[in-house]
Amino acid sequence: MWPTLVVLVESLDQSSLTRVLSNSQLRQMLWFTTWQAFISTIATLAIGIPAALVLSRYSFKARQIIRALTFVPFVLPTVVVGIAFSSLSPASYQSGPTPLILAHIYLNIAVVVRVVGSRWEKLPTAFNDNAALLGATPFTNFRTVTFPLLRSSIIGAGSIVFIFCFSTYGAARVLAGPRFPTIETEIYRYAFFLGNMPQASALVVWQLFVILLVLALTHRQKSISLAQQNLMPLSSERKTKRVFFSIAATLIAVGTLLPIAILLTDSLRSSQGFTFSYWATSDMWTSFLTSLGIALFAAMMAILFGTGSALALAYSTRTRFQVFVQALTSLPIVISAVALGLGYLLAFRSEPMNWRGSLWLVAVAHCAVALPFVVRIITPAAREIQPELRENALLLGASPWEAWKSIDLRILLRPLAIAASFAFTISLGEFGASSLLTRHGHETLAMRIGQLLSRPGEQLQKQAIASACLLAFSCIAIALIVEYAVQFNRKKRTQ
Amino acid sequence: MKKFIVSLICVTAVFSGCAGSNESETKKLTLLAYDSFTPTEGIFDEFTQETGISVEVILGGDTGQLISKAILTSGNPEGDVLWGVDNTFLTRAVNGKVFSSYTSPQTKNMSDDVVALTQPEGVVTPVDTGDVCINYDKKWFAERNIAPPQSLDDLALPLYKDLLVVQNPASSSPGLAFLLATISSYGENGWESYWKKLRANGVRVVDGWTEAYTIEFSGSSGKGARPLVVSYASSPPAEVVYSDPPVNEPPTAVIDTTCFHQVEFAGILRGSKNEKAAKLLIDYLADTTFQSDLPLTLFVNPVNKNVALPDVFTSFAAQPEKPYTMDPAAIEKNRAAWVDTWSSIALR
Repeated sequence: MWPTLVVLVESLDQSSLTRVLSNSQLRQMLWFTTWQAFISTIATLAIGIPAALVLSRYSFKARQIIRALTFVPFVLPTVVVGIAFSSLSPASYQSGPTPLILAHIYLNIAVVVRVVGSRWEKLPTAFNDNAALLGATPFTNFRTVTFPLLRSSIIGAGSIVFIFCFSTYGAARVLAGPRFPTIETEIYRYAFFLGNMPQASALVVWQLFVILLVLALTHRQKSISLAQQNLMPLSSERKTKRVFFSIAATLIAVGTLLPIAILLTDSLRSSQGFTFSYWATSDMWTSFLTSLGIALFAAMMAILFGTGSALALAYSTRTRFQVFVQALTSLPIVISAVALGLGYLLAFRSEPMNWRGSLWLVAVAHCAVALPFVVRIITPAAREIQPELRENALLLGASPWEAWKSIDLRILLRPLAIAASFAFTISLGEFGASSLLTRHGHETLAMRIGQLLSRPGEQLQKQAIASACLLAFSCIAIALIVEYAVQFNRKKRTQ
Repeated sequence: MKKFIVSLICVTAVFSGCAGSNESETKKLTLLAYDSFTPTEGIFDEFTQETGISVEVILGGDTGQLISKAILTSGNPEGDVLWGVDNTFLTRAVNGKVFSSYTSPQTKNMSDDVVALTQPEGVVTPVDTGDVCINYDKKWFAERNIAPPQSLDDLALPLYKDLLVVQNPASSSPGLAFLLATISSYGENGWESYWKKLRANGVRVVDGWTEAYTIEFSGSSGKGARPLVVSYASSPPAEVVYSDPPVNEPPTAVIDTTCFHQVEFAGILRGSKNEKAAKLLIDYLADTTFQSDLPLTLFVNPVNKNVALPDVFTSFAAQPEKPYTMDPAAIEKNRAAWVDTWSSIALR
């Protein structure tokens, strides 16, 4: 992670640090960034938790597909989402805090559905049933039984969403507009447009401070361990509940699919009628392959290092060590992608480490961006593994590797798969660091979309939209593959 | 697990294969450019044949990112030659000691006022020019029987209320160019009141060119509501070249009294180990082969006077007679203050 520190150390000074508080514009910006992130987080949780309930408590036909769909907004370039929304209602499109917060909800629902959902799947229904039997209303039931058991995952999801919304960049530029700068857009502006590196670094430090504070407040959450539960078939529920949940599931599906549907029809239509030509450019498929290769490599590295750190966190009993590892692996999210890219550029600029421009440096940067999420997904699961299980296995004559494989790895399989798809998706959609590190001819798909959209001409715009669809479809595909692979594996074992 | 290790090794091999091929025996130059640097594929083949030097292009974000990176890595650059510093960034790059001085002999084929911008330092070579102007949606005005605005003054008239979208000069290069055009036009004392009038007349500010042109503007592929936008003098021919189905007339046109003249330069990065070869590349960039590729790929004007412009360009790209322009040193000196003042007028 040290490349990111290079930028800071090289250009920081004290007056810029204090100017953030003394300058009224910067202070206003910091305040706006904070409150919009806070409201976005609360709103995302308010919508995401019911969504997680529907998608993780009940089994019904389209469940996997809908869950995979919630992943899509997470990876679509914001400009593209902006185009989709604005073509829905051109007249009412008005930038400001409200569209920004709506976009944040749309973009981050996936985080809540994944993180809270994977915990909720494990809550035994017997708890709720008993409470209901004893006369608890559904609300009391949620407040006194479900919520305490879910709390750690809700706080975990909330902290990730807050950090995302606090470091918002693309969404802020397109949807909040120039009247409402956020800390990340200001870092970009100071660094690249005004060339004021000290002020940019000072803002990075402030960003770091706020996010570390959030992490510190949310990092240690004890939770009791639970085993995987079988899902209730939705068809066994009362009719009113069934209707309600079906509507909810449909709403989730429509909400995520609508922008993609708009984009898809847009990419298949020219003013002459139906056409495939925008999908038939070789450039798009070349950069698609580049993206896939990089994402594969980045996801594997992120899983490798992320699991290592998560296990170190979970197995260790020394809190100081835990805090250190947690902080270290969290650094990449607290540092903006732009600063990260700059850091890599500066750190690897001289021999013998002159790796600038090599493709795998992009993958390493993506890995760094994805790492904190991998750690945050795997650690809670790893904490729940009871050491006694492993010790028993050892006692019964298993080799340490066998014991780890049949106990720990088996428990971790699902979080690992989720983390892998997260890392993969993050790499596919990553834009900021790539654009600073990539060479001509090796553009990733996300970069290509940005490049195409930055020039006039209908063909180029449409090609960009086709590329965005491709990006969305690959995310759905990855999420589905992971869903089914985990399920298949579980079935095979239980048989 | 075994499969995992095998696949890891395979992927590593593929990637190191890419890295390995970078170190070939032939002499190689690296050209840094902004993201929208998209000349014809194979345009450097002729250069390689003549000199035995191959050229690799690295794209480094927009112009602002490119220059910031170049300043941070000054003396130990990412490449040998940099394409695309413009007159709004030139002084910052020169002050940041980015370049090793070289001006190509090709400048003898360029107009004097363009060459004059590289003086007194003489550190870089002009390579292209372009103009940032107000574009308008022809159909929108025709359908309503309203004459499109003719000047900067007109934009503040009630007739054109709520029609214009511009970019934030704090984050966008055409946005800054348009602000500079208004400052050149109305002077130090007049531009602030002009922008107050524009604001009262409902000017909409968005962050970048893409949002303005593809989302807010009504005349291009987007379905925006505003028929007036800050874009380039060459946007209309681009609309023709990339139209689908082919059209003979662009849907947009340019108001050529509102233009700001931008000149872009190429220079040798200080610390390059191939300065001699880099000089040859600069000469090639300013010579006719490369220059005649520019109009229809980058949609900019060549600076080399021996290059004839293609028809679609001469018919539809505006060639403003008297575009506004400004001394690069004056821009660098006042930019931060101007942008701050502008923000307080137009945004708050």
